[in-house]
Amino acid sequence: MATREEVEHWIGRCSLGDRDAFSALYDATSAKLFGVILRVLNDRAEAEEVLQEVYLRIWRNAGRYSANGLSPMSWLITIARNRAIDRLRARKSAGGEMDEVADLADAAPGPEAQTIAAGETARLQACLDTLPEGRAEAVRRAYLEGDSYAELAERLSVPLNTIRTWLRRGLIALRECLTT
Amino acid sequence: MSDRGAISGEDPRLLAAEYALGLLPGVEARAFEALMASDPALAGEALAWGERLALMADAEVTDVAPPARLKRKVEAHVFGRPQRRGLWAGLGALAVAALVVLAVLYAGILTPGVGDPEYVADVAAEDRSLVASAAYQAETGALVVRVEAGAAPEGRDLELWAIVGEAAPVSLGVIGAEAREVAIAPELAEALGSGVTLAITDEPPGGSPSGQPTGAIHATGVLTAPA
Repeated sequence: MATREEVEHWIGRCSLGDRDAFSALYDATSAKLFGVILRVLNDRAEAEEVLQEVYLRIWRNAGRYSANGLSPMSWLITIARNRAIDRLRARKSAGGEMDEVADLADAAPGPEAQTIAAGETARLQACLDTLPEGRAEAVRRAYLEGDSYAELAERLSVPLNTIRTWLRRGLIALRECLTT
Repeated sequence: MSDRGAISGEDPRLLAAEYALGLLPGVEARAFEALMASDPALAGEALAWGERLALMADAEVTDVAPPARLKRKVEAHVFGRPQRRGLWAGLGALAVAALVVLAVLYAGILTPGVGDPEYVADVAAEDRSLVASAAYQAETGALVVRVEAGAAPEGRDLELWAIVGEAAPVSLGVIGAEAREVAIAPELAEALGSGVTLAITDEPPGGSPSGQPTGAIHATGVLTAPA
């Protein structure tokens, strides 16, 4: 398992066009990113295509990474997740209207942009476990399966006209748990 | 009141979570992006949610090694046509070798009467399909750069970068066959003694929009004091 410093270093070298660094970055991170993409798409052929797009984007945008507040692995996962969700939504809408996915990996830096400390993962898991029934599942479904509010309402048997309020209570609780 | 209420009057921090989750409908997502652009704290909140959610995925999603053959496909996709590898890695030795012949080479591009350059570089591709010269003079504080051979790919410009140690490259602007004087920041001038790497990439017309290199590296060299 590569360290945060190593991943950061490789991304930095990629921004200089260092192909050996790209190779090392791919070797260290492709299983995680492929896992994320596969989880979203549940189709190996599509996931392989998306993985190629994802690494192209990483290579091209590596120079913008250091200005971002995301940790290196989160930056990579965000790109992989976003491209996979894009593909999933294109599949669902089959060329119809679709919402673009939030592009946090390209977000401009701000003074408040912060890197969440290591050790936060365990805390996040603990906080997710404290949420009222169904909310943690809704968070996972939205993030990793690209569910919309309408899809969440159907899957979790919550009336459509209250699903947003229902999930928001969970998000408020999650935020409180994480920041206290 | 509709459950999908207007963006005004809502707690923007909740919108940040919904945005990061991809739950905001398109119109609201665009409105939220406009809010973030003028509110760094809000942008930070959205980033913090993005970080948490990515950490969740990192912890919960099982790694799946992609098939071994995919790596070659990815590299072909990313680098375009097959090219030699390790250009950057090998640049140290290469640049040193190239510099041996430099001292004589550079008088030619200098404005007469300005004196000898204090640092020069041969910024060249391995096969010398692209060669640029650079010469720095303390007297004027300027780097004189000129493309001697080769040109940018169709519809692209050549951009010169300075790299000190592990720091991010600093743009020295777009270069061409006409000799150009580039003013050098004092911090960069100070670093010259320890060897500043110069690199040329191809970029969109007018240079990289992001301030960082986006195109392929075509040539490299190190600024060194002539022997």
